[in-house]
Amino acid sequence: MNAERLISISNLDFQYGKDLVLTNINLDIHEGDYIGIVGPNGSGKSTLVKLILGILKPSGGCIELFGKDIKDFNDWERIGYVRQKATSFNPGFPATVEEVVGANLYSGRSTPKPGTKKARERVNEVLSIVNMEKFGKRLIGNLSGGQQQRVFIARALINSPQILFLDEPTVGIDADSQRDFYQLLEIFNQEMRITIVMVSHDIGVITQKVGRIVCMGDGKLLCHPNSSRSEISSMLKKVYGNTMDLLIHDH
Amino acid sequence: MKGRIPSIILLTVLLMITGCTNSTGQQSRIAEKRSKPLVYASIYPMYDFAKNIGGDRIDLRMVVPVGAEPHDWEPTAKLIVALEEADVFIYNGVGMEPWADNLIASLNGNGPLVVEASKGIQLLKHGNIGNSQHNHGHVSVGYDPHVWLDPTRAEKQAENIMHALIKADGGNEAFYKLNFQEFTGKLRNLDSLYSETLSRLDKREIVVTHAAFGYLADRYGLEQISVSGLNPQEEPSAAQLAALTDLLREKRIGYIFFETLTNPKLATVLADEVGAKTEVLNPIGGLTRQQLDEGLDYISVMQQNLETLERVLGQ
Amino acid sequence: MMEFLQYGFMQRALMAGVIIGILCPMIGIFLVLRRMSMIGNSLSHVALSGVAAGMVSGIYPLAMALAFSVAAALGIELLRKKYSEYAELAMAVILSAGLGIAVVLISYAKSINVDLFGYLFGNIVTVRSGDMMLIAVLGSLIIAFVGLNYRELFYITFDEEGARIAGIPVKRVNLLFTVLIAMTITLSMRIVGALLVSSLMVIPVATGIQLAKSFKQATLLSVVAAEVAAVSGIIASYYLELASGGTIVLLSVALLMLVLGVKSLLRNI
Repeated sequence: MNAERLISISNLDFQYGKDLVLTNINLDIHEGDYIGIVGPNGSGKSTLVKLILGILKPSGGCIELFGKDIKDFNDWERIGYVRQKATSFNPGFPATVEEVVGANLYSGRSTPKPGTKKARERVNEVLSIVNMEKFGKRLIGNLSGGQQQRVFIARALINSPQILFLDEPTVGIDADSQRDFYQLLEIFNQEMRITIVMVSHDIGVITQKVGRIVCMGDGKLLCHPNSSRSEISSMLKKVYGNTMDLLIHDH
Repeated sequence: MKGRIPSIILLTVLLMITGCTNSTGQQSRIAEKRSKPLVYASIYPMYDFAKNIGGDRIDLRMVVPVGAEPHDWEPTAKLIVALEEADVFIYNGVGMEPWADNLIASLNGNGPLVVEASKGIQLLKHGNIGNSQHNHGHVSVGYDPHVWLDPTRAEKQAENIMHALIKADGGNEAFYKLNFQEFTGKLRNLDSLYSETLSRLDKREIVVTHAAFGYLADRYGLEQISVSGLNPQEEPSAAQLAALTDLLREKRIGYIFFETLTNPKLATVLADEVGAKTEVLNPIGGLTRQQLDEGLDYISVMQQNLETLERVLGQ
Repeated sequence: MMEFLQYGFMQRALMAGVIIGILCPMIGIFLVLRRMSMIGNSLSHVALSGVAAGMVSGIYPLAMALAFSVAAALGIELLRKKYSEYAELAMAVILSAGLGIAVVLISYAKSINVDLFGYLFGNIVTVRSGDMMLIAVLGSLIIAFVGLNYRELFYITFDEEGARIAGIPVKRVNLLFTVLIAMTITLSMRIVGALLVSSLMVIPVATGIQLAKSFKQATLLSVVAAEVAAVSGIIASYYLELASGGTIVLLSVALLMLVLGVKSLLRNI
């Protein structure tokens, strides 16, 4: 591994009330990685992402972002985040696509000041990356699920992040849009050199798309980005049951 | 279950019977023990008149607490119970005490001798600028209850009170009559002082926060202009306030009379608007604790009011 | 037509109306979109208890109302963070406590009903010069804060979690914003009345959202809707001798109905 280490997690514990949600997680994410975090519901995947993003505070262990402890980390514009579409906003919200995307210019130091001409250009630029440049003036609530998801990706891209987190990004999106979506991610990862970490329960698709798989079960990391395919296959079988066999062999 | 029901009924009936005998027994015992008649007066003027007549031979209490504005006061349940045990209940009437009617109705003829002090007195209808359409607190709509502010009518009220005290406590008849005569003398002095003083003054308009001075104005030929209606709760609308502003400007009135117990906010707005000075004219519906501690009573506050009127209207 | 403007108290009423016509929807749009409309209702009842406390203790009632409602706002914010599942309950509890304290204080001091009525339903004639100054100064502060933090507030309102990840000091902005809600309610109480303040924060916003093609438009149109209701409401309540709060709120409801009606007509054509 010569690539730069962007995120380093060691001995991470997270307790919610009396429940130990995550136990002793160790994980490194390097520049250029395309990682899929899989596992059944309640296995702690989303919790792990929220800890990395600083939304939750760890009960033990340590998280380093870009070589800095998370407590001292300030360069949040280096990290992009796309959430599950359905829960992320109120559909009647009277905001245009441009307003939603432009809002993320808040903290960027290297990005143009909000409200300026440069900012508007930047908004159009990221919208064209996700093929949404024609929808800038439309109300976000009037778009289809797939279109909305692309707007949120554009929003995450506006500060030119080095790493992009996606939490169940394909939930509630039709099959065609999902295909386009995975194509976009591939472009980000291959051409724009953006590190991608995606949480999904949709193992069938994700195992075909991502470079490496992190498998979680019961709050523990069951396999690592470096695990071999057969190790992963047997782990997934253990976690999900025998139905997984087919999907993995499909690959 | 079945067996229990009759016993519950029996218990209830027993409790009711013992409860009844208990309370009546208590009542008669208290009445026997008491040497002085227990007299409740609704508001301060009634209290003052009763005190002048009954002196120390009655156990006198006031219903509306000291410092409360009498128009919007409501009796507590405890007080109603206490009133039932009284010998005499004096109230002004004419809707001054909206709660009194319910109270009297609930007494069902038991309890105290009830005196409406304004009975038999010629009443005035309330006619004033703008503010007669809402009369929330007053039961008899349209009549002005502030009868006591005319000393001659106050004398009649005192007379009614005297008769009631004699009826309740005939043994002290001579005492009550003597006191009444003495008080009447004071009231007549007050009346002639008012007539004399006010007849010398040119200005006749009194601008007051609430229309309490109708009888005073009637007796001495003054013209009352009020910011709110008979009841201080009746607030004038913005348009009415505008009309008052115009009137005050037109008549070049440079003063507004406030009272002590109501919130003067509206009158202040008006005073600010026309640049008027504010003065205090007390309707004596209730006195504050401080005023009572200073030894003020009906007669002396009426005298203070006269001094204020003389000073302001004489300018 | 405008002869009422020769009276100082009507000038003050109209000026106060214009200011709260900006404040209420400007704060309200964030409340409505965050589904926190309830907070306005809770805080206005607490502000009422502050007014009653002010009258009992002889302290300037608006100042007391301000202190009470800001304290309650901070309390709600604290509860909202600690027991996020029970946010609704926390607001209901604070509303009840506020109203309870108000009623007890009113019954304790018998002779304050006159003015309290004005605080309950709104009274245009009792806006004193001091009240006017308070409304103007604090009103400008609120408008300035929202203007300067417009983007942050928008982001938090649209997506609180996203805002936090974007590095917006969400806690601080939320806290300050909650204080502003309390201030807005207190200032508006003189004109609109405690019972109806939250309506003026919600209904013009509903109208604005119906017509808006962007968030900026929604904000501007909400303000326009509120101004139309406030100014025409104050004038109507002067000429028709009606309570100002109810008139203003009814006019803003009428405006909303009109917009909804025209919209559905256009859709059917």
